[in-house]
Amino acid sequence: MTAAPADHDPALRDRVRVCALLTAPVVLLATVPPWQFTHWQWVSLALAAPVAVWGALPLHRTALAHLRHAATTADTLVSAAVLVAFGWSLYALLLGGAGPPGHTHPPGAAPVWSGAGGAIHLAAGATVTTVVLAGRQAEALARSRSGAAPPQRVPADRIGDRSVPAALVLAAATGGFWLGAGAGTGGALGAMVAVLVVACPCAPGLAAPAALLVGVSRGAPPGIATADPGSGVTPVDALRLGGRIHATVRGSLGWAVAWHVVALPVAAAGLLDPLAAAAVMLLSCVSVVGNSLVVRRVAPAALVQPTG
Amino acid sequence: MPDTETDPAGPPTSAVAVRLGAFLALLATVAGLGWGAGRVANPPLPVPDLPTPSVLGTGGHAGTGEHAGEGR
Repeated sequence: MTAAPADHDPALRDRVRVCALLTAPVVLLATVPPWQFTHWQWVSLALAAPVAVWGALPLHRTALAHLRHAATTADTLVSAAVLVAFGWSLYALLLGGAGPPGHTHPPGAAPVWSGAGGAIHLAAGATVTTVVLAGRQAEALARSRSGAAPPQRVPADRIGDRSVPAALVLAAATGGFWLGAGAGTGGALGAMVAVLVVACPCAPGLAAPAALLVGVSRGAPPGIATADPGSGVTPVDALRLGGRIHATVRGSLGWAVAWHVVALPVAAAGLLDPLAAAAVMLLSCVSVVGNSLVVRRVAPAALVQPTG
Repeated sequence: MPDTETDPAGPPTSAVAVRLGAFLALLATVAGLGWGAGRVANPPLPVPDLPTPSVLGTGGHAGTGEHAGEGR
C-alpha cells in the first residue's frame, strides 16, 4: 500500500463534535446548582434530546441489529443506559416532580436516596453517548492511520461478548433491589444506569486503538504496524514496535479492567450517581490514552535501532 | 453467539425469539429476586391503622392496629 489511507469517518467526526457541544452545557447545568436557572431542566432536555436520539443513533442501530440475532454487544449496554436515562428523565419532567419552575438537582453523594422523584439523568446519557462516540472515532482514526484493515469486529465487541449479558443481569438485579428497598423508581433506575455505564467496556475497547494510534503517529509510514511491505520499514522494525504496542495494550487493559471492577460494586450499591459513573468511564478512557502515550517515547527508538 | 458480520442471515426468527424471550425472562426473574432481596433488606414501615373519619359524627371506625382505641 503506497497511498495514504483516507482519514477517519468525517460523519462520525461531525457527530462527535455536535454531541460534545451539546453535552458540555448539560453537564455544567447538572453539576453546578447555582447555575440552575428557572427553567434549566427544560433547556437541558432540549440540548440532550438530540444527543440521546440522533447522536446515539449508530449505537441504537447496532444494538438493535444484534438483538435481531439474539446477540448483545457493548453498544447494547450504552444504548440501554442512554434510553433508560433519557426515558426516565422525560417521564420525570413531563409527569414527575422535575418539571416545575425552580426545580433544582444537586449532585448527590448517595443518589439512590436523593430526590428519587425529581432526579433527571440527562447529563449522564449525553456524556456516555459522547464518550463512546469519541472512542469510536479514535478507533477509526487508528485504523486509517495504521493502515490496518478494518477488523471484522472491533475489540470492544469481542470483550462485550462475555461481559454484556452479565452486566445486563447485574443491572436488572440492581434496579429490582433498590426498587424493593424503597428507593423509588428514579433512584432505582439511576443505580441501574450507573451499573450499565460502568460495565460498558469502552476503555478496554480503546486500549488497542489508542496504543496503535500513538505508535504510528511518530512519523512512521502507514502500514508499519501491520508490516505492510509498502511501508518501507523492515518487518523486524514493525515487530519491535508491535511488541511495544502489545505491552502497552496489556497494561492499559489491566488498568481499565481493574478500574471497572472497583467501580461496579460501588455502582450496584447505589453510591454512584449516573453522571459520576459517566465520569468514571471518561476517566478510564483518559487513563488508557495516557498510558498509551508510553508508546510515543519508545516508538522512535524501535524504528532507528539497527535491524541486523 | 452469532456473528452478524460473517453471518448476516443469522439464526431463524423463531430461534431468535425464543432466545430473546428466555433472556428477558431471566432479566425479569433476576429483577424480581432483587426486588425481594430489597424488601427483606429494607422492609417497608408498617402503615398505622388510624381511625377512619366519619361524615356522620366523631365516632368512626376505631381501627385494630397500634392506634386502636386512641380515638375513643
